[in-house]
Amino acid sequence: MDQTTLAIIGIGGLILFVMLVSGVLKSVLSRGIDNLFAFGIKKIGKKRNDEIDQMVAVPLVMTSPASASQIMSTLDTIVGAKKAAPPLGGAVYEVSRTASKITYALGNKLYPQNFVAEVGFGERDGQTQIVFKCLHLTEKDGVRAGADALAILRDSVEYAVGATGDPERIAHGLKLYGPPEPGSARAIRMRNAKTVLWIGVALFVVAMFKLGTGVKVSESPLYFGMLLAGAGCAYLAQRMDRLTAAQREAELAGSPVDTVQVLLGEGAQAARLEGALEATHAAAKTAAEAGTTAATALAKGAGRASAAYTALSPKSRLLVIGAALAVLVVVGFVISNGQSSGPGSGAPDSVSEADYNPGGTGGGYTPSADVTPVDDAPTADDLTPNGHAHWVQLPDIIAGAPEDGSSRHALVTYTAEGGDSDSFILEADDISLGGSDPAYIHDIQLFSDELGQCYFDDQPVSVDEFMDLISYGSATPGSIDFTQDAITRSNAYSEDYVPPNGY
Amino acid sequence: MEFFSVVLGIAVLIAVGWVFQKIGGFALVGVNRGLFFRGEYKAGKHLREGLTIHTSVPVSAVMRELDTYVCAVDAPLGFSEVLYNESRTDTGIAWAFGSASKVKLEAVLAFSPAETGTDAIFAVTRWFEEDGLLASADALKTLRLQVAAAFRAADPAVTITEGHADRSELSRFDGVFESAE
Repeated sequence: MDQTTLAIIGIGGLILFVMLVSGVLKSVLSRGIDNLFAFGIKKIGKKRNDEIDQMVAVPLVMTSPASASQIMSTLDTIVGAKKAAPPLGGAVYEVSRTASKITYALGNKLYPQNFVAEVGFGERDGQTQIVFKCLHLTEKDGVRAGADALAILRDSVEYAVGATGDPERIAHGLKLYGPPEPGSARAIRMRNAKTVLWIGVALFVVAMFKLGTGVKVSESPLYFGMLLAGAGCAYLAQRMDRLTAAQREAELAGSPVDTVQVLLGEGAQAARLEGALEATHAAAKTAAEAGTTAATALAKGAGRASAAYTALSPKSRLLVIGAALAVLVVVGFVISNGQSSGPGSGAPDSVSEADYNPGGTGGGYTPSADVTPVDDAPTADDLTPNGHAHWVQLPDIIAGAPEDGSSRHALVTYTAEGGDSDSFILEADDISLGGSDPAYIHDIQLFSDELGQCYFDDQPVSVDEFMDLISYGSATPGSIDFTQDAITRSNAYSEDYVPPNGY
Repeated sequence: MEFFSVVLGIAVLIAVGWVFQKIGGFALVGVNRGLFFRGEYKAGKHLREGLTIHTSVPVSAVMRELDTYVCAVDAPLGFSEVLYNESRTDTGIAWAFGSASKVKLEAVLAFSPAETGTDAIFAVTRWFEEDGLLASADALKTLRLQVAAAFRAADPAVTITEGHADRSELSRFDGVFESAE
């Protein structure tokens, strides 16, 4: 083999090597970026995704004296599913139907199964048993397509079962779940939401196109602004859709719903909280007024900034853009962390830890004097090998709760594995109490492997009762799912405590 | 000799590429498990531990509630990933999660008669990992929840324990754990 051949082979080998290494690096980087994206989506949408997971996981089981065929007929009227997938767009349609089961899906001919759900009919104790199950919900990178439509289908099935045999309620259900009447408030809002969304998409596409094909440095703030405006439009459209859903819920429940609240993202949950409604109304209106003032100031400031910006040299402009982008990234990171971590985010901020005044009087938490951990409280050494933690048992109860039910808060104190103690307040958003119904807590956030002491201020509860309350809302019967920023998860239970129905 | 050198060179290149691929894969797994998805990784391990159940009602009563509470279809739905019934006998049910072309998870609920009622074990017999994480953790979490709900509906006094405490007893369950381990 001569020198030339060797050189060619050598160069070829080198090129192959470089291609190989860069290919591997690209592949790993690409997967890493995908994971980062999924991680971000999970963080931002955690609360909503948890709600969706709960809806998917728990079948809706109902019984009715009406026959299966009668209920099916009502379902046909109220759900109004199409007989086949539409070629474009998206609609709920029937995949199959037998005497004991109807299977629905959402999608079109190209993407036919954003979700698949079935309504099964059986017999139990002389009545018709109806079971609504979600069989499949498409998820891509943490985004669950069709979840809102699935929620509406589930609600409409529940409504239809209750309305069977009552023409008046069926007619009302048709108004709620059927297509909106032309000119009605719902129809106008749906149209407006769609318009806002399309404006957002148009802004986004134009900005991306211009930025992709190259713009002058001086024009770039305009297109970045368009990107932000597009995102804002999409957010607003989503809020308007949520408002439509909240109005439907409110109409079903027979209570009004506050538009300002829903648009600010507080309403749907807050409206359900007995006693918290007035406070959140006021907070939402104050926030709206503050928002208007801030927007006016921002517009004035933007005008001045724009004038100052055009006076800068190209190099200075680049620096300004770089700094602005860095600030945006930091702010985005802080906001996304703030949204997903810490219990009670979004709850009225009128309650602080200082309100919990052991031994004191007045509104808020007033524990009895003997609320201290028992002497033989478990320590970190008591942790079981698989990471389970034990609750520190309290001797007794909490007293001094307000009787008007306006204070729905719990103080949770915990001692971490290393011995550090801290506490936080479970606020209204984390505690749902409904009249005489059993209370339940959801989304308790603690570090893994913690030891905890829990107090309730709204009613006297023993440790066992407290455990019952927690068990009621737990994903796994008799235990608590702990999450902390989606980083750790474990279960906690009381070593000596067994709920009445067993774990 | 020269030909052998060229072949050897190509083989070395391929080996280096393979090593890079592995190193990249390991790095990604490490980052996912230790940093970005630490919670998911731990949760996945925890979910795979299964459940040990004791109930005072007969198997038939549990089976009926399982039909109600477990959201499984009779067969895979094309490319959509769903939970479906893989097999069913008097002593157990096997579920699988995945599409028609790829199964991502298999789990078994096995029954065994006890002195007072029925013992059961819920076990994950097959699973896949993607970049170091359990590929179908959400599906498994949901299935566990639904199985537990079914048992509680059949028998409010049911005892459900996470994991399998006494492995010496597992031989009663028709070899469920032989395939699980």
